[in-house]
Amino acid sequence: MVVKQELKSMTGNDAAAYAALFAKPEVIAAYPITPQTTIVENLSNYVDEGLLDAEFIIVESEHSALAACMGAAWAGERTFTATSSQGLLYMAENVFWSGYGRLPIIMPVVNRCLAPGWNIWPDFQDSMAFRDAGWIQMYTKNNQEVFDTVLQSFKISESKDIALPIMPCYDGFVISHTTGQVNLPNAEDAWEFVGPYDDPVIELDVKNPFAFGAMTMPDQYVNNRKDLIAAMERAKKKIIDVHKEFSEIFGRSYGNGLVEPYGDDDDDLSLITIGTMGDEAHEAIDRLKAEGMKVNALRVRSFRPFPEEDIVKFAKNNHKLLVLDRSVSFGNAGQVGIEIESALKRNNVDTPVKKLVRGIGGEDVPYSKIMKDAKEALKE
Amino acid sequence: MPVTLKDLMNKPKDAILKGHFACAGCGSALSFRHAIGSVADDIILVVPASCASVYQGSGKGVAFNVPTINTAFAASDAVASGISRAMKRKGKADTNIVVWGGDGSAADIGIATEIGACDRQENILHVMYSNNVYGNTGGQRSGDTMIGARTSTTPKGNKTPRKMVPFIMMANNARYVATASPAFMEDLVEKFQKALSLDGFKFIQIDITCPPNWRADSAHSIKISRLGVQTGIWPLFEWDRETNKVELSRQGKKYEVKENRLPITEWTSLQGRFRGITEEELKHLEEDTERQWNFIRKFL
Amino acid sequence: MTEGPSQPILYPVEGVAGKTGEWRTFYPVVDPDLCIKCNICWKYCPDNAIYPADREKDQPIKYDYDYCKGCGICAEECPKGAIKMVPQGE
Repeated sequence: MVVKQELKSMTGNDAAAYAALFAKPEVIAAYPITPQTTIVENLSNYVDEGLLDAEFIIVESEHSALAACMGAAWAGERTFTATSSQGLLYMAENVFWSGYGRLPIIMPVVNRCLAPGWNIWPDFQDSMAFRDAGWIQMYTKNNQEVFDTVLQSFKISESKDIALPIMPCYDGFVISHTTGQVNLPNAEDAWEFVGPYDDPVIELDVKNPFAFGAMTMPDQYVNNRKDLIAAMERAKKKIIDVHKEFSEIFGRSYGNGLVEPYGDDDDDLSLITIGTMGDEAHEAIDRLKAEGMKVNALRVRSFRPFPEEDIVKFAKNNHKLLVLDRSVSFGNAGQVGIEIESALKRNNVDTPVKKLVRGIGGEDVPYSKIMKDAKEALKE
Repeated sequence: MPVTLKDLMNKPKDAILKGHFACAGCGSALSFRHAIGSVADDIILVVPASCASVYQGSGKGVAFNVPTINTAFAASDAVASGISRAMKRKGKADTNIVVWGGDGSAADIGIATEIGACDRQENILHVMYSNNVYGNTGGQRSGDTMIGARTSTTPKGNKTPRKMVPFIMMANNARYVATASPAFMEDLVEKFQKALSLDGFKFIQIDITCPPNWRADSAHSIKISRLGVQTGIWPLFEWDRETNKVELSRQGKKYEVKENRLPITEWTSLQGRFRGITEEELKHLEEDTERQWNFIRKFL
Repeated sequence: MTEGPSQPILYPVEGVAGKTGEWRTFYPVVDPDLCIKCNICWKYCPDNAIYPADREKDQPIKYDYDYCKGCGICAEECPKGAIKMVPQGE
């Protein structure tokens, strides 16, 4: 029985703020940066209006925003903040500190290009730069999925067998500031789904002192990291399970939660996408099919953990992959493309992969451009 | 509440266990022993990268017998803010949250974070123990290094005066600001406890001797701290936002008067970091000492 | 209850740096006749390596030589000169 929901118009940031509101974080750190700012502004309104009972810390930098959330997480409380671009870079050491420290923190990253020059439009260079930091990363395609994913994030991150901070990522402006339709559940049903954070991963206790993050010998350090690797592996099933539970209650799903296919297998070309390009790809696929081409798509929803098994399975059932990245690792190629290629090689799957980088600097990636890329790939 | 030596003996428990990594004669470890020790049963410590990160211990355990969160260099006051707010949510607002770090973080890399927490009036106490260098990394010049001090990055003597962090915190609306010296330990612990009894952002600067970086005899650790006060280099005072007045501490009061101060050379001559200090540098050091006192006098 | 993650956590333990008495090149010796049991040395020891004197029991200070680093503060600060620093091995 799917719960009652109301269709509302709101921006992607509104959707993220609603999810945070319903999950009732105890401590929220707020610092502005375009295009994330309206999330924390909305939350400050909720707090002022008495809709959200939380400690709202208006910090003096993003480095401090994440530090404050870490403090709250160490004390065993649910915590939330948001950032983008330069802000994410500014908090860099704390991003690694919280990933390696296994602190449950929910932090939407509203993707925005990195300077110079100043550019507030979307690409994924910011969050991709942190794929090594031990955070779960999920990329969403529209406002509805932002709400759904941020809500799910609390359950995934705070689960004791996972205990990894999470960044739900989405394109700045295209999602964050564009009004779209969101089926919004009521606060009670959303809270029922998330539940309280009552079995904290870690909790400071004056009666039982411990030191966190003191000087560590290689053996302990390596053990900590090995456990992080194992937790990332477990996170795949956790994402799938939470997604399944969510879809049963709220009636929406995105593939299996890790990847979202579109169309049938065994086509001539498959578009692998991430973020809103995934949505545009559906439009491109429909039109290409209308022109008689055999094409399908797969959107990568979870990038960390990397859904290797799903990607390999998909590649085995298809003939050629065209990966569209919205970021690039200079000196190599788009990160999603690189990781897909290596996964296939590792699993002895010889489906050819073509890697393209699109949408850098906020460059528009409409379905027409995607169709052009697809047609060219089909010719090769 | 005046603190006596007997009070120092009445700790709830040892805050720092024996066999820690601090250098012989470390003023910071000594101050930790008594100050943190006085509230050891209800405190959460936040330690940025500093000497304390190292003397805490490694490998098999830690010497700190209180809950301790180690943070990145600039992050301590923001982490402490998060902990403080979270403890409030848990109905444990009384638990003392104390940042225990050096001058590297409090005067330099962490100052924005510190001022931010101060400006927000977070309910935490920031203790900056200053050896006037980045001690943990081998004694490089910091914003809190005084004129004439030889450090590993100012081998011919530092050219700039100290940053005077206590004044910065006063200007940013801290609730209580004090300076202390381990040579006057009862006074130090008294200020520490007074700070913890107040709500809001409190700041205490402890001027500690650092035998290795100051190239001083470890046996002179307390003597040098005492001379620091007696030469006027370390003004001992308290400032309260409610009164906006500075109260000179009993043991340091008379050194407000220039004529009462011992010659600065009595202090510098015990420290190898001032070997080769020129007459001109000494003069500048004296002028800078007077500059500090002039600032303090405005609040008397 | 599920087991938590493997985090960089260490617990309080005595002697984390080993028996730091091994660091010394000088060790303190107190003359019990000169000790006035003021405990100023106890106060100033950064390593808590002095067992305090007890005036009522007329007991002078005693050293925990396992952890005394030989810094010499006690000898320097003793108001009665009751403590001497002796080179290790003598």
